[in-house]
Amino acid sequence: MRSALFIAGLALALSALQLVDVRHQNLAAFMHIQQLAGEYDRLNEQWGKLLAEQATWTVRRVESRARAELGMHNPPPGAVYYLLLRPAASVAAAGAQP
Amino acid sequence: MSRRRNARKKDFRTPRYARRGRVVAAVMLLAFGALAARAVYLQVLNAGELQAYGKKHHQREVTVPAARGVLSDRNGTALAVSTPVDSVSAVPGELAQAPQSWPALCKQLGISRQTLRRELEAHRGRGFMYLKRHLPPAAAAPVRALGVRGVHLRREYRRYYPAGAAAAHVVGLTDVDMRGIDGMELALEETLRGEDGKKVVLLDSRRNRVDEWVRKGVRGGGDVRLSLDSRLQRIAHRELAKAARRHRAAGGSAVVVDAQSGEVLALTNVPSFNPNNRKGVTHRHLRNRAVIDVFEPGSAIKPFTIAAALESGAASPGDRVQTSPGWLRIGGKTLRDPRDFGELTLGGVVAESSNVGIVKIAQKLPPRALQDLFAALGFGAPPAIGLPGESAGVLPRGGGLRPIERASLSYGYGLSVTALQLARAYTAIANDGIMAPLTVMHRPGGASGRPGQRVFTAATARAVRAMMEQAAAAAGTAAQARIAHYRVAAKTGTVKKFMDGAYAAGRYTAVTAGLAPASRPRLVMVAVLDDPRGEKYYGGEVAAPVFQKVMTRALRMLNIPPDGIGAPARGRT
Repeated sequence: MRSALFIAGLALALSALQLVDVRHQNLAAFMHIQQLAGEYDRLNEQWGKLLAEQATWTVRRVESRARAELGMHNPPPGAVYYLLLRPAASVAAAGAQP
Repeated sequence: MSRRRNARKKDFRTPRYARRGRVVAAVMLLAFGALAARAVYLQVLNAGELQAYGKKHHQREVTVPAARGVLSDRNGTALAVSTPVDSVSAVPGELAQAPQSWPALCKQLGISRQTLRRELEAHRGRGFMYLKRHLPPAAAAPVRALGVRGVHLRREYRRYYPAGAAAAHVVGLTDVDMRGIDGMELALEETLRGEDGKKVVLLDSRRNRVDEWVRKGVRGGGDVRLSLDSRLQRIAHRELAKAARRHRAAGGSAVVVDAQSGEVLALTNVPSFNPNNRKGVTHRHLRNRAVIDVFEPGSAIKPFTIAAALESGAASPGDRVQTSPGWLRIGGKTLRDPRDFGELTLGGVVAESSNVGIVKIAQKLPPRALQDLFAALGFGAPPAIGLPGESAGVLPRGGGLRPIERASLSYGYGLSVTALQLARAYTAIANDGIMAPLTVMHRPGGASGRPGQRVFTAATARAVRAMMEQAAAAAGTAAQARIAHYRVAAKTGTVKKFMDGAYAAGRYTAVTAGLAPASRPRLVMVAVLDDPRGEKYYGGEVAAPVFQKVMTRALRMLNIPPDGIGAPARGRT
């Protein structure tokens, strides 16, 4: 009877300590998850920015920079030559595609 | 030994010790009783109030906003992206009690102290007010760091549109609360929006979050791919805008459609607006003209009149029509050609755009043939591609049209269409008689969602195409639509504008509709310029160059092999 009581008391003390420990771990894990959520937000923000930037490059910037800085232009119709590899059958459009 | 022990026992039994023991016991009992009573008071009698207090100060239910889905073009290039922003809000009562924190707060938010005071006054007694909405997260971080009591940051999203004005009408807009209000943003609202989540957060006395639990999971919005091609969209918009400026047009539209799948590759209008900065934007800029504005198609309808004649057997491709003397009287009205074209082939009627010729052909048709074909081509019914506000246009449905009305229909007056409807009808010519159901949604592999609809035979479509090639030949009315190394079939229209109940003098709508490559059509395009007030106003002079420039780029960009190599080179670019 006495030893049973002792064991129960010990178990109680141990579980109390464990509770404290688990609470602590929970808090630490929560802080970690908060941090990760912040990271997720930040990466999301960056992803959105990159998507937008990519779109701007593909749609606008590459062409305007090619024109302005490299002096590139679409060839006028007279400057486009087609080489027919097989006469009239299939048309290979060499050199005409941008 | 035993005596001593007995003596000690005896000591405790003395009345003095016994009384002391009882007093201690009583005090402890009382103390425990008091604690128990307090516990009962707090936990049972006063529980509601205290729980409410605890909840109010340490527990907060917060909304977890769902990120809106990304709208992208057929190649995955973003057309509408959500970027996170922070909105700063305040509990007016709490902030009003902490005036010492105002200067720093105002400085960070870039508002004056007077404004803050006025706003606080205006929101007195309420539980919530915005201090500043949609700050970039980097600008909001210092506000959070100030830690002002009663000031909260809320994560929201803002929409960014990389394609800008070029795609503004199709892509559409969201309002400040991220609800779609126009274009595909509105049409796809259900898919894009997602569902906000809810969670309860537990705060400690320093208002740090120490725990949270999810009430309702957040469901992010779905991403959607549209059929548009951003690059083509931009080219179409630029060329349209240039032409509108040069010819002082009130507005214009351009639509490019994949002839087989019915996917809309580009749909753009002027005037447009910058969806990323809507200052000064009016209804005029917001209107998606290609879908909403109707106009009489004029001569651009003539290929279909020819198609109706070929289908009904009233004419065959080799027929010739006498258009001399260049005018015709119907029901007391005189119809004129620009000059006497003499005897024309059917192709010549299309190429010269002879009104007299086309009316003579139409007069041989059964009474309802033209109306029936036009109805089958989708005129008078909305194209149902999913864009908000699609117009049905006007097509007289009833029988018993007077001869003059039937004649008018044959050269494109007395019915009105949108640019989108016209493009859809032209897919029938491009697609050997099968009209493609239009869509603005991406269909991978060109697989059509709905089956196309046959409106005339392949032979008719090919014959009409050949006639439209004549129109786009060097001597045709659509000569300026010609593209080097490609065979082009096109038809122009110059339509008198119906204004205030009458056809206005000198006011026109210039149209060019066509397809390329003519041997195996892949693309259909319609260009419309509304009310060009410059020196030129003919469809062949105003709209055809837009068609030519955009189509040239489109054919190259989509790697469509040329079918007209060695054809006589054309001069203009």
